[in-house]
Amino acid sequence: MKRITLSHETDLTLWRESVRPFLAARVRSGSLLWRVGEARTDLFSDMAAVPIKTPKSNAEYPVRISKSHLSLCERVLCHRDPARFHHLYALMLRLQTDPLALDDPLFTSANWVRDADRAIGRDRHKMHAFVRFKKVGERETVGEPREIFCAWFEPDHRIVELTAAFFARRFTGMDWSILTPYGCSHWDGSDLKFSPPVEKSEAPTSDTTEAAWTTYYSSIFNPSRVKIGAMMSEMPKKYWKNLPEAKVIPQLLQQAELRQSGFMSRPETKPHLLTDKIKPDVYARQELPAKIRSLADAASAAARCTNCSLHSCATQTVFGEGPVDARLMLVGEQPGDTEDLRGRPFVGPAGNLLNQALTEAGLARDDLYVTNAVKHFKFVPRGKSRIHKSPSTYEIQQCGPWLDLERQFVKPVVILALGKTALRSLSGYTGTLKAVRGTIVRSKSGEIILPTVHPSYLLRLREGPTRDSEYRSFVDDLTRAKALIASEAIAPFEDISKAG
Amino acid sequence: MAKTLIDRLSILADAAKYDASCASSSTTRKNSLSSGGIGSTEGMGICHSYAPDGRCISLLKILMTNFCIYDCRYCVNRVSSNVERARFSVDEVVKLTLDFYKRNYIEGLFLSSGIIRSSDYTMEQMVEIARKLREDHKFKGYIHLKTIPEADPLLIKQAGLLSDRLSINIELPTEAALQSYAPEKSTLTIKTAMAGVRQSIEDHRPDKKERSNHRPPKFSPAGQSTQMIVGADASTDADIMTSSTSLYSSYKLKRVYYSAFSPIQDASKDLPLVKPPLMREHRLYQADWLLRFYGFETSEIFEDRKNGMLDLDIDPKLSWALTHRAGFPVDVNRATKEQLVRVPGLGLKSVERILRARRQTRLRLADVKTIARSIKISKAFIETSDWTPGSLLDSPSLRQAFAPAPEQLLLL
Repeated sequence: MKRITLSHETDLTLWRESVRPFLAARVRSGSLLWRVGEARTDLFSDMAAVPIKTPKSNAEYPVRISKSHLSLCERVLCHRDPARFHHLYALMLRLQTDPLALDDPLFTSANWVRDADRAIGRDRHKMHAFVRFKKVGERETVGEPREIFCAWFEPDHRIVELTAAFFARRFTGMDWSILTPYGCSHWDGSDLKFSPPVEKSEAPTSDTTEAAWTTYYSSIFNPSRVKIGAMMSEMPKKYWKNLPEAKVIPQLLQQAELRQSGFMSRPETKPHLLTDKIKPDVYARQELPAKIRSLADAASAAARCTNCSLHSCATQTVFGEGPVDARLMLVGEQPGDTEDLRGRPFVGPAGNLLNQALTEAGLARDDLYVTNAVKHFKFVPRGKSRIHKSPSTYEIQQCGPWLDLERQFVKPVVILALGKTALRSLSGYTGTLKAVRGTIVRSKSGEIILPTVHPSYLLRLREGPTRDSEYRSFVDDLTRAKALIASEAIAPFEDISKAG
Repeated sequence: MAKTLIDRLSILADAAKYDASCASSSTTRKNSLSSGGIGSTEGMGICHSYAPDGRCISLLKILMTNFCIYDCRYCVNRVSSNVERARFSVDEVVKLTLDFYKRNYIEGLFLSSGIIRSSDYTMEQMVEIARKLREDHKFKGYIHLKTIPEADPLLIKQAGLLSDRLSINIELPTEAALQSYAPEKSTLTIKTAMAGVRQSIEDHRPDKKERSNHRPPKFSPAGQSTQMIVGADASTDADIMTSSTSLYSSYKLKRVYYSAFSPIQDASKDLPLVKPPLMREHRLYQADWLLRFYGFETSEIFEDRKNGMLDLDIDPKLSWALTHRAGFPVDVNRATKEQLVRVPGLGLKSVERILRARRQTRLRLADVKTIARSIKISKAFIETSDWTPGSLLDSPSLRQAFAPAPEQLLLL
């Protein structure tokens, strides 16, 4: 039997130095006896003289403790139970030969240490939460005076040193002391200091702000949802004596039933006298333009469209944009994720590709009117993202009138139909895109419709020769549209109808 | 007679208690060591106290004022209500927050407000409170601002740069319900504001591709959240979950909070003045978790719920499993993770542990019990090397084994 006397309960360096020779000699933990401080005799007081059996080889083994195990020791040393020395030593000894000893479910000391570490973690967390500072004065400094605070707390374990850094990080700008039965910590703005334990009577007893805090606590409690068990499990009664707000708990519970039934049985009162004067006039705001006379009227009416159910999941209507006298109109399928958030057409990835292609074709986007066949984003929610879903025939039809209005006010010479949905909405054509690509489709009202692919189709293609050639032909289609609007031979749609 | 600060605190905290959120977690780590100010956030939130309603008190949750020009019928502060009114000045809120924080009562401030004068004016005042705390008082604690959707987007941008979290309440799951209960609010405005916040959050994220030291300032680092009131209108659970899934995917919300409507002072008579539907609220949270972490789809959860309501007696996963018994029992030694998480009684952590443990050994029922703590429910749905539920799984009384015992109705 060998006695190890430590002069401090929780000091890691001291502990480490004391155990190292024994670990090096692989002394079993059962033959060690731990004591902190002097004084006190025990059953084995006289046995100090008994020599330890050193291993026969007399060899010294290397001692290794990993960084994470060392910080585990630092935490577990704060545990109140004197058995911690024994278990920590036993664990460290096993770890010298078996690096996975900490996870061995059949190793008692490993289990004990893991449980102790959890207990320390919980205790620290509760101390972070339940320390209540009371203001005790102010101290003159160069700048503003510094406030001085003091708290009394009773942790389960010796965690004053372990928690001090947290309080220093958080309450840097004030002086504070935390007094506990295990010792005290102090902060003055630059240094942490520790001192021996004091009696509770040395801690301040009141603080003027406590009245406000208790009021807050009472008011934030909802008497209709009493759940005492949930409160007790998170804030056990042992903490109540140092929590100013806990004093009102019995009273709150007593009145809860009464307050709740009070709300439910009280007769309805008349609306407050000034209600109508104060309330904003919402009906004025909701009024629609009586008749749609301009593109702007159409846009504001479309913003409140509920013709199909798409509006309920999408953010907003994405109406077309561009100059009202544009000669070229681009019609896509529907807004995507980015367009839905920003409320503007072709501003997402497909829009970027379109812009690039437009530049290559020598077209300025500012000169074009850009819109979609369907004005709301249709999607399937998938976790935290939205997956595009093609609009149904019904939805294309329901959105048709808005596209018609845009055509009517903009009167484009040429419309570029980006993708099948656009072509279908513009012309009623339901066949394949391939069959009509490169031809000119005339709408009933006489506009020239040029079918091409949607830029997002190009984005879906894998990078390579196919994508490159598809992109080229997309740019060619844009160039063709440019040539068409530039050629004098084609008069605007209005003139054609007059001529007809 | 002018009301004292304590009187007003009592009114304005009372008015704020219907907001369910009190989270102070998942924001960036910050502390006061370099600034010499007050406050820190360290990832995990801290609950500083618990009220007898079992809810944690982490933030100073108050209204700046409970005067309001809106007339939302479910709200205690609606213009037509006769409740006592009060208002805090900007400096009063700042001082109260700091006083509470310095005494370690709270993690920070959750500020909300009734709408006075105009949305912009109200939002300006709220932003000013956050600015004073952050800039004048070097406050590094948690700030959650309840954003007013009608306010100028520029003000919302300022709010996001000063706070840890922004939230905009959707209030009710459908547009029709919102129109009838809160005529001054509009789903369109609310959703557009949420879209704006999502974009700002994404714009302020450092570009991973770009290898520069330029880091944009943090914008609402703990994300955005919203709240729905449960039980004030006739919306079904299916309506609520459909709305949630759409919101989660559209605006990348951190959380949707469900708040059981509880009786309020001076309530309007067309609201259900009954005890708050706490069990319903609880089942909705469970369903929410199934959607976000367990790979369920809203349609699956509700396909056998004819009235669109979740089963109040048993949890939604068990309820789903009971109507899909053909897919069970699941062999814990072979099943995929996706199959295992659908086993009633097994949570995500248990499944992770099962997956790890079965690499070493073939699991027996006792092993599953050690891992999952309880196998009361799960054993009817799993197979192990020494256990198969056999006819237990097909038993017509399986549901009864898990549902609470029937209660005798009271004879009046």
